[in-house]
This record gives sequence, structure tokens and C-alpha cells, in this order.
Amino acid sequence: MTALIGRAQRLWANFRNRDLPHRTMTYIFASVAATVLATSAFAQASADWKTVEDAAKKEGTVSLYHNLRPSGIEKLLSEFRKTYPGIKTEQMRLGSAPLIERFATEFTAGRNLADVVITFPDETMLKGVDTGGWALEWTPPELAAFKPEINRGNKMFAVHTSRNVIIWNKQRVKPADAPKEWADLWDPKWKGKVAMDPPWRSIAVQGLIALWTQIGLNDSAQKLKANDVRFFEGSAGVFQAVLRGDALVGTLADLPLEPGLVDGAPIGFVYPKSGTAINDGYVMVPAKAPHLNAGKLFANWVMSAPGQAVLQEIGGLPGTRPGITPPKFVPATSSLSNVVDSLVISSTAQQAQSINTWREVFGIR
Amino acid sequence: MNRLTQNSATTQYRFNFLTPLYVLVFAAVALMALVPVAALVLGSLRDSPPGQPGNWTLDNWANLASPGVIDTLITTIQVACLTTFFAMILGTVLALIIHRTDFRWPNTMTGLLGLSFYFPSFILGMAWIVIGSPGGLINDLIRELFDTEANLDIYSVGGIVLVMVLHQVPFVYLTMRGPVLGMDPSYEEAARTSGASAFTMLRRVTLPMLSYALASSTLLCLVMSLEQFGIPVLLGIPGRVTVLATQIYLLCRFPPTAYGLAAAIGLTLAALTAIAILLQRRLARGGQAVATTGKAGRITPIRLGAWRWPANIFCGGYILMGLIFPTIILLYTSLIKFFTGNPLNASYTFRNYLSIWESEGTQLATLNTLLVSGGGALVGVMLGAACSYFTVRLKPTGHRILDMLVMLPFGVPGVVLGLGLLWAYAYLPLPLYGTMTLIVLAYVTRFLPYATETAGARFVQLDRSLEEAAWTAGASRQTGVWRIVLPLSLPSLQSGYFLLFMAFFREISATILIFTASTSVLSVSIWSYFEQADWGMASALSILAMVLMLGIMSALLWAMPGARKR
Repeated sequence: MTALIGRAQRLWANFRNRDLPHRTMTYIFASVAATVLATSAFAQASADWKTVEDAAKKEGTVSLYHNLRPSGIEKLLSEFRKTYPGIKTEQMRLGSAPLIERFATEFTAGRNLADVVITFPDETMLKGVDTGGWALEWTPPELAAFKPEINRGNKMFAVHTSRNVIIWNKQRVKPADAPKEWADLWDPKWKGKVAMDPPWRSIAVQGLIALWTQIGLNDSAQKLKANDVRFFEGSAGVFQAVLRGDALVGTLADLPLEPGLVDGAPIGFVYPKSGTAINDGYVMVPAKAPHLNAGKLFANWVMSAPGQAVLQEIGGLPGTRPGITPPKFVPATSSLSNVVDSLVISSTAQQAQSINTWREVFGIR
Repeated sequence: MNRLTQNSATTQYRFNFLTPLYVLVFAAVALMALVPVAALVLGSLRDSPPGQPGNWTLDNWANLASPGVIDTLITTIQVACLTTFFAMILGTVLALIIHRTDFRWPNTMTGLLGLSFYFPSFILGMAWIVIGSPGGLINDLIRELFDTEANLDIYSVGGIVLVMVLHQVPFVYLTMRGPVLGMDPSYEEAARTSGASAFTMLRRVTLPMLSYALASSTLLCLVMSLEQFGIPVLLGIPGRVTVLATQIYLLCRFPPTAYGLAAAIGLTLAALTAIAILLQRRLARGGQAVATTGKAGRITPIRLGAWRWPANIFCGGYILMGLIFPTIILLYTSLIKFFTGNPLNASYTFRNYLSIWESEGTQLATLNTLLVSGGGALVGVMLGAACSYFTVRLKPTGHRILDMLVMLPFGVPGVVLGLGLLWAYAYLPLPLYGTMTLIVLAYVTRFLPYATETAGARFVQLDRSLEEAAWTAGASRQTGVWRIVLPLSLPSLQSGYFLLFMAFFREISATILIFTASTSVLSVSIWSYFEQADWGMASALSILAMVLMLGIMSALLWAMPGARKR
């Protein structure tokens, strides 16, 4: 570093001895200095990251807590292992809400087992991350390739986005009858034929309910109960129920949509014009991860171009890294109208109130 | 019985190596049983989740009187009673047809019913969703054939009862098989000679003779129905039919969690099952006394005559619905990309099996399952045998308490026990959370009575004079146990090991709240796939688990002749 600075000073002296305009010389000097500093910082970061990689290899294991599609997770882990042979992978898959609940229980009890977490956060998790000491504060090398809004205080990084959507069974619903708007779900013609994931199970549904309220569709629990809505486990459960014909229409977060359409499933879909609630899925390295470096390595890999491509392929959701090839069937988030972030329109208190209302209406208490 | 009582009274329990063993066994069982139950009791009296600051409260218990909980309780009792009623009828009729008539394939039926007994409940539930859901195969077939909308709906009380009955029938059959085979036929012969019709004989002679066994089996079946978790969760959530086990699962799995209320509901459910178990044990003791009279002669099979085909259809029908259809359905769904009712239109693939083959997670879960089932069952059978030796043969001070402690967790539904274990071992300063030891501990705690009952049944039959003769000849108590009791009890111990192994292999409810990334087992992996509606993977893994289970069953039955007697 000292040598580089000395060299820059000598250059400056040479320039001063010639009859170059002062502004030109200043630009040249500034460019050289910036290059020198950037090169130096890069060299430093590379050296630091090499240390992380070596330490991760010594740790030898990474334990991932996630809510990704179970059938795709093995491919994700396998690709990671190909990139970093010698690091074993373990994974625990739960729905986003129980995942956060489990992480919180383990964190409170001091039984920290997760090295890296990928999920859709709720207010509880955001509070834990922002002020509760859940997450490690660090800068993944790949962060530079992303837009700044995916970064939550250098503790959590958005890696993909789910959007709420209406789907229907194309073999049983005529195109003219297909729903177009959220309010269509409580049309009596679908009585007993509407499927959804219950809100106590999914943060995405909590966001959707908040959106309904925002656009004037109140008392959704009572209306859907009157329409004899059926609950299925998770978005994939709703997708399968509609595909099977247990229900003819349904609402879900679009995780299973792209993979289902790739398989050729006869499912129609619409993102209503009145709006849709989105949820960013974040990656986080817990502050008390037992294999902290392996956790960092995995999180950074998921943010890399190859990691994002695999995540998008197996997760079925558009990745957040600019420049990656978009999914084949589902539209980009930027093309949807009135997109609202679930976490912005639904506070913890609202989430709890919404869940309690739904539990009471449906007798789960 | 009297002789045994006299022997017990006259044999003084003296200090020897068995004293520290008794203390150790007592302490281990007490810890295993009381720690999770105590955690539940404490949890039910707090207004905050475990580990969080909060206050003492009785609100959770007061909430038991809320309309939601009362409705759920009523539904639970309805489902359990209906299941028990139909399962008892079907299981007993099967036992009578197979073992009291000239039915032609008794051994085949016994084998197939044994297989059905080990068919995990939630896998059966999954298969029946494909068969009987609104978009399932039966409705699809009716729609195709008659061009009309059918209304068969497995997501209902009726559907839950149907699948639970299918699941419970083999249990009833297995519990009734012994008493039916052990009946004294002379009474029936006398009735027949006196000109009684088959129905009169059944009503006036056979059923009264089986009354103890029937009552005992009814209560056990009721307990299992009350605590059933997999089937009501799978079928009840879409149909909005909530039973207590489902409610506990929802309250403690999904936020905002209500752990205190879940614990209060769990303890209430445990109290219900505990009452049923206490009654069953009283009945079993009474029945044991009656059953020791012995048989006067060989059973003469009742001729089926014109009833042969109905009997064949009845037996075959059960096997089709409880075993063969579900297996075929699972095989089908494991081989298709997405579900379609018409196999000719399906898009077939082996990707699920390939994915399982390549999956490190599945390999780990398989290894964990084999370790927990194999090693855990060994621990369970050793502990169970030790408990039974003390409670049945030596009867030292406190043996009744030990007996009660063994039975205590059996009355606690699996999902509730899992909650108690999660609280206890996440927060207690013991290095157990996240280890396989905790999973083994959970299973042994839950299923210890399987081992104590099978070992105890044999220990009761062994005359004390055998051991006393060894002592008189100078053998120590240790030698007496090692050279006399254990060899003579080996078949029962093998049987206990077999039962525990299979119970551990298919267990889900106690594990679902305590598994971690490194301690997942096959049942949890299947459940996880199903929970995420990955039917292809869930079915493929179920098929592989069943093949594995079948292989292990065969190997165990080959290696352990005693296990064949169950």
C-alpha cells in the first residue's frame, strides 16, 4: 500500500513538472488514486474472503433452515457442494411462520443450530434481526451486484420475491368463468370450490389479507367462510388441490406456479389488476451460527449469479440479482399493477389481529 | 394367580445388585415421564412462550371452556367413538372369521393384516386423499361414467372416521386374535349340541366369553383414536374438522403461538386417555384371571357354508381398502409429474426416485431411522424388561409407582409429548436438544409400555419356584435372572423388540416438533414433503420406506422366532 501511494506521489510530481493543465492533472491523479484504492480494497476483500473460505472448509458443515420447495432443495445443495467440495450440507425445511418460530425458540434457549436461513420474514423476524441480535452484520462480496434496496442493514439480503396470484383448473373451469379479481373468490358460484393457505401458516397470506383490506375488500374471513373455503397446507398444497380438482380456484403465493407450468400442469393464473402483495425471501447468517463462515459462504453463493440461477430454477420465483434470465412462464414483478410489500402494509399487531380473527371465524381456538 | 401372590408375599426383597439397578431404573423412568409432563403443566400456567418473561395465569385453563375448544372436544370424542365402534366390529368379525370358521386363507390374511398394522397412518391418509377427495379418483370415475358431479368428500368427519377405522382394524384384530384362539370351545360345542343357531351362539356364548378382551381392546382403540394425529390433520384441515390433536399442532406450530393453551388442551386430552388406560388395565387384570382356566379341547371351526363368499369379500375388501389400493395409489403418484385421475393421460417420470437416490437429506434420514429404530428399540426393550422384572416379579417398595410412571406418557398424545419434550430439553441445561439421543428418549418414553407389557406378560407366567430353585442351589440373583428368567423370556423380549422397532420406524407425532436438520427421520421427511404438497416425492419416499420396512420386518421375523408370535 505504501509503495503504491509513493508511486502516485512520484507521478504527481512528474505531472507538475510538465505543462499540463491543472484540471487534467487533477483528474488523472484522482483516477489513479481511486484505482489504487479500489484495487487495494479488492485485494483486501479477496484476502478476507479467502480467509472465510478456508475457515468454512475447516468447519466442514453448513446447516440451512429454509422454506424453499422441498423437491428443489437437493439440487441447490448439490450445486453448492460442487462449488465448495468438502463442505457437507444439512437442511431443515419448514413453512416460513413455523421456521421463524423454531429459530426464535432455539435462539431464546441458546440452542443455535442454523448456519444460514432463507425465508420470508415477518415482523417478529425483522424485530429479531434489527434489534434482537439474531443476525450477523456483514457484507457479502456479491452484494455489490445488487440494487441497494435488497440490503436490510447488512444483516439480511433479499434473494427472491413471491407474489400472490389466483389460479384455476383449466380442465374444469371455462375461460369465460375464470376469476379475474380477488372479489371473485367469494362469488357464490365457487362455493366449496375455493382453496387457500390459512393465514396462520403463511406470511404471504397475511400480506394478502392486508391488501384486501387496503383495496376495500373487508371481512374476508367471514366472506370466505360463507363461501365454504377449503384450507390446504402451503401454496403447494393449494396448487395440488386445484390441480386435482378438490377445489377449482385458489389463491397462493406463486412459489409452485412456475415449476408446475414447466411440467405442463393445466393451471390458469392471473395477477389481479387491483394489486398483489409481494414478499421478499431473505437470506440471513445467524449471529450465533455454529458454522459462521460456512453460513457466510452459502449466503454469498446464493447471491452469486450461478447461485441465483439455481435458486430461481428450483424455487420458482424471480431472483433479485439484476441481469439473471427471468422465469419462462410467470411475469416479472415490474409488470404487475399495484404491487405492495406485505411487510409494509401489515404490522406485527395487524398480523396477529388478522390471524386471531381468522382463527376465531374458523373455530381454531 | 393366588400362588403367585403367595410367592410374592413370602419372598423378601433383599439388598443386592438389583437394588442400585432398581434405583437407576426408577430414576430414569421418573425423569423420562415426569420432565415433559412437568414442562407441560408449567407451560399451561404461563401467559408467555417458554423462555420468555411472563406471568403465572389460569387463563389457559379457563380458555378450555371457550366454545371453540368445547366444539373441538366434542368433535374429538365423536370421531374417536365412531372410529372405535366400527373398528371393533370390523376387527372382531375379521378375527372370528379367520380363526373360528373354516375360512380358507387364515395365514395369508394374518400376514396381510400384520402388514396393514404397520402401514403408517399419515401415509394411509395421503393415499385416501387421492382416492376419496372431491377431485379424487372415485369422484373422477363417477363424473366420467355418469357425467354427473359426485359428492364423495374424504375431507369430512365421515372421511376421517373411514380412514381411521381402516387404520385401527388391524390393531383390533391383533388384540382379539389371542383371546379368540384361546377360547374354550366346549361351551360353544354345548350350545351347538343344544340346537342353538350360529347367531344365538355368537350372542349368548362367544361374545360373553370375549367380553373382557373386547372391553380391553375397545378402550385401547379409543385411546389410539383420541390421540391420532396424522389422519385428522391431513383430512381435517381442508374440511375444517378440528380435533384436539390438530388444534394443539396448529396452536404450537404456527404463530402467534398459544403454547399455554396448547399445553392445557394437551393435558386434558392426556387425562381422557389416562382414564381409558386405567380402566383397560383393570379389565385386563380381570380378564387375565378368567383366561387362565385353559382349554378343554381343540377348536372345531364353524362352517361358513353359504356365508363363504360374503366372508371372502369382507376380508378381501378390507385388505383392498386398507393396504392394496393405498399402495397402488402411492406407486402411481410417485411416478407422475402432476396428478391426473386418468393414468392414460398422466405424464410419467422417475425423477422422484432419482431425487431421493441423490438426496443427502434422505440418506441421513434413512440412517437416522435405522439407528433410532434399531438402537432405540434395544434400549427400550432392556429398560422395559427391567421395569417389568421389578413390577411383576420382585415388587419392591414403590413398584406400583414405577408401573404408573411407565404408563403415564402412554396416555399423553404424541404431539403433546413432543411439545413437552421440546420445552423441557430446549431449556433444561442438558446437552440433548438437537441430538439423536433426544429422539430415542422421546420414542422410548412414548412406547415403553409396549416393552413392559410384552415382557411382563411372560414374567407373570414364569413360576417363581424356577428362580428360587436356582437361589437355593447357590446362584446369585444376578445368575438367576441371567440363566433362568432371560432365556425363558427371550421370545417375549424379541416380540417386544419387534413391536418397538416398528413403532419407532413409523412414529411421527412425537417427532414433528423436536426434529432438527441433523436428526430428521424418514417419517418426518415424508411428512415434510407432504406438508409442502410434493406428492410425488412424498409418495416415492413412502414406497421406499414401506419396502425398507417390509425388508426389516422379514429380517427381524427370520432372526427372532419370538417376534412371530405377535
